Amino acid sequence: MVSEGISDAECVQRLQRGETDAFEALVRRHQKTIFNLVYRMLGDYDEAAEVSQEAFLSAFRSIGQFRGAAHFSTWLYRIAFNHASTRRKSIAKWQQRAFPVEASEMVGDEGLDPAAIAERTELRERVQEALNSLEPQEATVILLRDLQDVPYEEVARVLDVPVGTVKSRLHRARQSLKERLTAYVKANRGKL
Amino acid sequence: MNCTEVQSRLSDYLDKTLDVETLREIDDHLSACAPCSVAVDELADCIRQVAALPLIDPPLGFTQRVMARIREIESTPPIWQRMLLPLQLKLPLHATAVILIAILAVYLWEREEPRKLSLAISEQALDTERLPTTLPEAQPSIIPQAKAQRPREVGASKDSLTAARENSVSDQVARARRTEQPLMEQSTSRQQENEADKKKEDIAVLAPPPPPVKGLSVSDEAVRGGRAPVLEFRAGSAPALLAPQRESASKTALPGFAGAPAALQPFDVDLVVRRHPRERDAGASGRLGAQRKSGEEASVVRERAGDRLDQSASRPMMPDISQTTAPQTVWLTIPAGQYERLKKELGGLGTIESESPAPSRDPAALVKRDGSLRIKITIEPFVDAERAPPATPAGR
Repeated sequence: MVSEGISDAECVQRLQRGETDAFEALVRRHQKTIFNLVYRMLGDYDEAAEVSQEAFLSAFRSIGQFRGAAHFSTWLYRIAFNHASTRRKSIAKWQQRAFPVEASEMVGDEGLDPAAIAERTELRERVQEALNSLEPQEATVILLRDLQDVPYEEVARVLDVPVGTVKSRLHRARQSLKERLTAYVKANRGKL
Repeated sequence: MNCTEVQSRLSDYLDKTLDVETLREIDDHLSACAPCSVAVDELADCIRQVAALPLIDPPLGFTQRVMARIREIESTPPIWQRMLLPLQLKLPLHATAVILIAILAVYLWEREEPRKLSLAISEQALDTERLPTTLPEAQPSIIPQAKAQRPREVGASKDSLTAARENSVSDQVARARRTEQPLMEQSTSRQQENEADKKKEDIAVLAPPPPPVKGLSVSDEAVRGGRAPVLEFRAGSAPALLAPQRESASKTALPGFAGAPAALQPFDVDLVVRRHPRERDAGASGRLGAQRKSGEEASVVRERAGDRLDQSASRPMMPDISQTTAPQTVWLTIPAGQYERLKKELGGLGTIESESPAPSRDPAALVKRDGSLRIKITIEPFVDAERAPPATPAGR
């Protein structure tokens, strides 16, 4: 059992030396961020679990190609982003899908009255629909920057584009999201 | 800074990635411009909504499942190892499998080829002859082998009778001809050999053994049962000509060729008939209608058995025989009681030059137990006494 205290780079080195158990620490450490990125890109809990698992398996198979030029998390984000984009393309009528909010998203809402819970649930569904209506690259920019607070430079490495491109792409993505959400946000401004 | 410039930098303004001077200019504009102020508030709301999305936990046991899959992958050898290792076991197995498949393929091919051959021939024979299932009594039947075996008539689909097989058979025929040369009349056999060489392809085409036609197989039994006579017609003068190829055929165990060929069976009476001149013979042979070229007869074998024939006495016993320049041999099995009638019919075709029992046969056995006679009839062509050499002796 590899200690959770060692860095990603150390785990990667051990893994590249053949210590498979080192990968377990990496999975534990990054499973939540990877899973949430994929889940927000796909909007489906089960598919997100499957795609996240495939992303980790791909990372394990390709660990020999990782040279440490970027953070392991960046490299892992990129793999997950590619898997999620591929899955989105393979699902027909993606835009027409419904994206129900998972029960696990309701954690923290227990103290609210039912009406507030319903409104919050509806808002999350609208946000998820708006995210899923964006292009994968735009959705990823917003999710990495606004949801996971990933620095611009790392987002640029994940998407393999310059930082300036990330900024302009983020601006366009936010404007698109605003157009989709403004009417609903205005109507519920006082309640949210 | 105008509204358009401010709107294009709102995202950076909210992220605070602009320099201080630009931030101050935008702040000044927003305090004076209500629409831009509303736009920045709406954009900030959207960002907050996304950021407010909860981070949800992956399924329970996610890490364990991933690690289980990884250990499964590690325990499975790569495909190249699975295909090749251990070499000392896999290579002999693969080699043995390849050899067995090759043997099976050759076996199936060998088994399939004769079947195609016999099917092709039998289909043609059935089409042309329309053989009956019952045989009438006291009438000859004809077995036109050559007609049934002509691949050109069989059709394009019968080209599966490979050229190699044809060439092989034709070579055997040619060798047989050379071997039997001393037994033949010198002039006739030499002429036949030349013709055979010229028309080697035709010989090859016509040489294969008879098809497994129902009527063929029952013909001799029908005779023994007194139901119908069997007549076998052989054009050309060399009975032994076909012996090698027939033996060859039986060696290859082609279906439909079981049993001794009729041409090799002993005969009881040997008749030699010299044809009348062509104009006299026209009446006799004109009805025959067999349009053959003179050179082909040396190698032609025609058989037909089991034909339903009219039982009336007016029906000729002899088959259709065209006027040729080469001697022809007819093998005829008839009831003993119709021997005189046959001779009379032969008289219309030509002059009976000799009539002798087979030297190797016991005269007492001339008439078989079943009452049938097996007769070899050699039909010599008409020879102009002024131009042609003396007639060859009959009875070989």
